[in-house]
Amino acid sequence: MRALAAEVKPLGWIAYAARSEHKDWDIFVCRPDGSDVRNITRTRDHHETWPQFSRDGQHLLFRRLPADETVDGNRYGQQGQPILALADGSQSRSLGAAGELPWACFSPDGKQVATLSLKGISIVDIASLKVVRTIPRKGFFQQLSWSPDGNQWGGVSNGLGTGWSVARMEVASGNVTAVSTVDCCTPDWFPDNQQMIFSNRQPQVRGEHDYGWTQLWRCDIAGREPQLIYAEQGRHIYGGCVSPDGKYILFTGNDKEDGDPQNEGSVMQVIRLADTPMVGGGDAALLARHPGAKRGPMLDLPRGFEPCWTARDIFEDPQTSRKP
Amino acid sequence: MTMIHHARGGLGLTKLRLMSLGLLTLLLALVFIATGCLPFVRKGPAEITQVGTLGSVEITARLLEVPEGAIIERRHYDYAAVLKYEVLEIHRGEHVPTVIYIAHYNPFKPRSQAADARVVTLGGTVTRFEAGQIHRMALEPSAEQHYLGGVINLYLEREAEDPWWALWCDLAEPKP
Repeated sequence: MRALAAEVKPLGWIAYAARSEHKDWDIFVCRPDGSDVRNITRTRDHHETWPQFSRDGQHLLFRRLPADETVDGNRYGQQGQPILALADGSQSRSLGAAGELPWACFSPDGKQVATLSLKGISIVDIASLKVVRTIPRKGFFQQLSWSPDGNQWGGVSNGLGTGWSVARMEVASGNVTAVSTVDCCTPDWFPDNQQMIFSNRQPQVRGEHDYGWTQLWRCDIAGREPQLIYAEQGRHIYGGCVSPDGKYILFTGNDKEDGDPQNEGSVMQVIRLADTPMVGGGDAALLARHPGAKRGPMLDLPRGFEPCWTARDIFEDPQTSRKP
Repeated sequence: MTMIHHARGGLGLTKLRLMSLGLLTLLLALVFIATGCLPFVRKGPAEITQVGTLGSVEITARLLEVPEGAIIERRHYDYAAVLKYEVLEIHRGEHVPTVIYIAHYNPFKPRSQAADARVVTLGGTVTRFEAGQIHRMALEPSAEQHYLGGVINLYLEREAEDPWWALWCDLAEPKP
């Protein structure tokens, strides 16, 4: 465990939403071993949630909503105002009114965002806030993410039959390819652009409400070679995020369904990708389903919701003083 | 004078009542014909229905089936389910096929209790979807253009790429 902590500690920062001492949601950051926790928003009358670092680690995008509104585990990308700040949370400014730029995610160069609404997927220039282009969303409905090379979007789609499929769309053509069609969500990209990480509820693995515990999986972007990353009977695994160097996996392990944003979120954890597939909790049936499961250390980080990882040292790099 | 007046007045009122009743009957018949209500009667509190005003299309249709797995209760996961109907009558709108696929939001809930922050405009008297029921519905042609959320569409590969979107769903039954 100590070795893993020592490995990841210098690898940048993790941003996440968590309850403050005043019970509202704020944006916090910590080192990837869970140390040096800092609250970087501190707004008692507002919630802040869904932080996303730009790929270059210069900026942070998140949502801000009134504290009397409940953060919804399926609508958090549409709730409240979109806020842009420097990566350390300073110099924040609103990019629109409540509900605007829904599901906004950064382009690889951090100069644009892609948004997802009933109108379609729109690319918006951050400096001018003008829509550059809009294409049909083709069933995408939440959790949009832009691939590191800028060529594709990942998202959750209802256009593939099961309601919660993970799919990717080519930015240039709008063509959609299914990645995983069995009750999936929270997709994100591996740094190589060739694989995606996502939560996946396996229908054979029953659990809460008899529809299973959510596991963390990966596969290539054509949906081939699906591989378990982490599973545990009794906890739903959400918020999967690959470290910028592609060697570690960050996720939340939720006792309750849906990432539990109505309460306090869940413990964030870090494992080595090389130690996966991993089965936690020692469930015999689950181990039997994954005979190749490995053992490895797992770091417990603070409780949070929808974490994001940047390799940049967001507090010490002089470039953070650049205005967004 | 007063008595004669009363007598005449009484006779006049009877005639007037009869004429009013006839006129009312005629008016009701015209209303029924104009709104296409003659063959089917809506069940439930008609005074609060918005089936005649919401959406661009209004139909009466028979629910042909409720496939296994289409309607499930999932706490925390709002979704719409696509159901298959046979259209019996078109009250408003055009280009409605004979067989139609309609997405209903959170179909495990009574229509009167299904509206929420995600789908604000929704209602009706249907409390439970059962095959064979006749529904009078206000619709929009494209769920894709009206709903951002999960859809369980068991007809996707065969027929219903972009189902219709149900805004209002009243239970109706054939007039005896």
